[in-house]
Amino acid sequence: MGYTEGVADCPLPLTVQEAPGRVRLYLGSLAHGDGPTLQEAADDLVQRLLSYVIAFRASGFRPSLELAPPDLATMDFLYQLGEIAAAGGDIRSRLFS
Amino acid sequence: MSPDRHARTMLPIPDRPAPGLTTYDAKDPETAYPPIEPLLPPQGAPNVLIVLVDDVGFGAASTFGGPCRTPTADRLAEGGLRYNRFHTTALCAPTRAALLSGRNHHSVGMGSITETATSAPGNSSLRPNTKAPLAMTLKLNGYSTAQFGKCHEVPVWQASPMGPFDAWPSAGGGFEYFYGFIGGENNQWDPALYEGTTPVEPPATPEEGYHLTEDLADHAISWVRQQKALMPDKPFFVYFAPGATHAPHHVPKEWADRYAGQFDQGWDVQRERTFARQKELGVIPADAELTERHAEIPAWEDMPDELKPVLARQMEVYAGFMEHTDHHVGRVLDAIDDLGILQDTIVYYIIGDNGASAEGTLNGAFNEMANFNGMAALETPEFLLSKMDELGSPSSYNHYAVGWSWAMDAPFQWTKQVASHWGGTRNGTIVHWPRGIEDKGGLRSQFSHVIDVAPTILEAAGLPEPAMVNGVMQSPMEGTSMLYSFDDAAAPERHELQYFEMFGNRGIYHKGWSAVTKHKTPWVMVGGDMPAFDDDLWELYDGNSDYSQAHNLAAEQPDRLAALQRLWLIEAVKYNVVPLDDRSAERVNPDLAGRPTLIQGNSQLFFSGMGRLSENSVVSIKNKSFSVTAEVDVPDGGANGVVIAQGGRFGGWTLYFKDGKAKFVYNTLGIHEYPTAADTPIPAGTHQVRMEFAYDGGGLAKGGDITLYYDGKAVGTGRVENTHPMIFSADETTDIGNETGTTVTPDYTAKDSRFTGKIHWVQIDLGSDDHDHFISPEERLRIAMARQ
Repeated sequence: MGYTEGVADCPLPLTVQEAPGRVRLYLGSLAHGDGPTLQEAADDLVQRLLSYVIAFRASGFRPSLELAPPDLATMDFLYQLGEIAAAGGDIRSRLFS
Repeated sequence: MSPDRHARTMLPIPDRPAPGLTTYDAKDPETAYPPIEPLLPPQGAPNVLIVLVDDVGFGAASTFGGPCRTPTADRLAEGGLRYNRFHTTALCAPTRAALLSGRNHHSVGMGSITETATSAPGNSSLRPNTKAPLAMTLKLNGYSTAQFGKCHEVPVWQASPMGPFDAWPSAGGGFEYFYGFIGGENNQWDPALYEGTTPVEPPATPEEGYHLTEDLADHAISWVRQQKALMPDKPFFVYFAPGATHAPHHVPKEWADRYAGQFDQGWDVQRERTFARQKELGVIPADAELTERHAEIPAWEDMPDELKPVLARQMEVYAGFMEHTDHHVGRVLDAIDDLGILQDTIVYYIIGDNGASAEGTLNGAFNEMANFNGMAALETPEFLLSKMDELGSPSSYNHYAVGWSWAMDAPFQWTKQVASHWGGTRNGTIVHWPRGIEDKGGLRSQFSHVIDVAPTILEAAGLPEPAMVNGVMQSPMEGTSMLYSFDDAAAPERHELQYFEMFGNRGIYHKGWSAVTKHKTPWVMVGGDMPAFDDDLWELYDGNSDYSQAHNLAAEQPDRLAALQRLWLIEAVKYNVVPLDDRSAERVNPDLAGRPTLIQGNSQLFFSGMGRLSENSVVSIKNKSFSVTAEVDVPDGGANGVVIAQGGRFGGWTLYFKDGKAKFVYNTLGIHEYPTAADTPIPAGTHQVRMEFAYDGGGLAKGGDITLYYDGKAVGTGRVENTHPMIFSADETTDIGNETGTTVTPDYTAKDSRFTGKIHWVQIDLGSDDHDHFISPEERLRIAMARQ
């Protein structure tokens, strides 16, 4: 039981921005990855996201009272990625499913 | 007026040895030393009172046409000047840091709030020592200085009882006395207060009629009276910054009831009424236009009918809160007047440190902690209706709806946080100084900004900007004194250029024109879609003919827009605004943001007497299994009282003894309380008491099983069905051996919460279970030292 029901898929959109010589891949406004190619941007995004979810798992996600409130579904998704990462799993399948 | 003997550009003013003959015997007739003279500022330097009210929009106070009666502000405006083009930074800590330093907020490291600080210079929350605060400059020139109320400028890793206190008001901040709270907001009925750097409890309870604003006013009045009784020749600098009217909107019911029925027509109509009143008062130009409502803000008529009574009550409570605040500001002013010194006191009454707050969601909140745990949906219309009569009371932690904040910012677009538009940054301000201002009741429309206050005070006091403070060369103040405008309504504007930036919302003002772009909407949830900075759409306004930013001229004048955009960039580089940082997730995690943290590892050890530990100072037990173990001496006759408690009435947990038995209570959002009690009392003597929480897992905010132990033996079990995923409280703390503030459970009160035995230590462990349910001395030592 609890207030969350579990998020099957990533609740945030993946969007791409391109500039000469650079691709930036966004996961909503939560995380981004940069690279000269889309593949490398995706690799960078995964790497960054991995560090986020491990940090959140370790020290929590304490929202700022002067910022917008967090979306529970998004945070629940991050929690699940953190559990996968902590168990030595690969978060990419959840991220890009 | 006698000439000032001191060179005041180097502070502290260096001591100089007395010239002349040094005799051997003090009785020698040639012995002559000048008498010791206390340091004073130049003759004629006025007393200074700065009042900074929290989270008030331009269109809230009656002085600027709003529906909230502010007779004190009205009275001051009649005897002084109204400024209707005064600006803040769009957020509280940045405005305060700018006000108190005379520098732009990024320039003093406060690009946003302390809780989102990063390692970049413009956002570090660290004021460089090359930018000494105004209070320090005034103190070192002979002023008595005191601050009452909110201080949100202490870096979060310096906000524990161990400091360091360099950024605290009464240490490095330059104030000789401080009474108030550290942080962004506080419970008005039961606040966590400091006197200097010492935690103190409020002098009364809510039941006894306590309210923070009244208490702050009482302390300010006492301090001013004492200062004038003991040091009548010395001017004072008082900074009065109540927590009001930031959420929670706590106010005695009778103040809210004065507005009964006045907001039933909703925010769209209220905005039109305010606009008409602003025209009538002349506080906005006759040709000003009421800006349109953006689609992100719902129309009143589109709100659910069943919710409207609650929404109207939210605004009644807020209006009462504002009037109540103004009333207590009036008491401080009356006390100054009674001393006969109001004539020689320059008063800044800044009505809002930013625009009205839109942080309460579209429906408003009964307990805003529900929002900040991502659980706003729990507060259904039915729930809100059931709690309507409690809004503003000690049982609420409330905030009004976005639509009201927009209405309180009339006639402008947007709200707090939106630094691009005047709804976020333009705040009605009054300057009152009978001895220094002849045009009583005048209106001033020169562009001005919160960074102008410090240079104004220095000029009024006849003090130079210091070139050196405490041995550190100072950079120039970045504001422009407003003194030139005091007696000349038509004086050409001197503050002609000003950048704005907050969370990517940005703008530039130059000689009447403003170019602005809104990057982020305050109430769009973390993680939501946000454009790239280069994709933001810029708008252009001619402030010479368009007071409220109603007509976007970007399409008509692209060259002018481009020139202003370039100017914004130049200013941004100059003041550490770049790199722009709209990251929401990384900035709330210290490791990712690059700021220090007090907490490391999976375990934390506490000792009796520790308390007032903010949530930033304690390991997070959320969304995981954890245990709490304490070694205690139980007196004959059994133990009572709190071993450890975190949070309070609106969410938290506590391990305590009642009637000799250990109890654990988890309180979820003040809605659900989950108690677990031991089956038997704990015997007298030294014992370990322990609780273990086995998290269900599978997501955030899940429940778990509770087991209580005495010396490793299970003595009780229970269940918590759901938990806080992110935050317990904005202001409540963790305490060992008692509970301060509101209590997690009504099973005890703060007054009778003190543990009756002795607590040797308390330890929180996260994650993996200790299967013997006991902590050996060797194990405890290892954990303690691992944190060194």
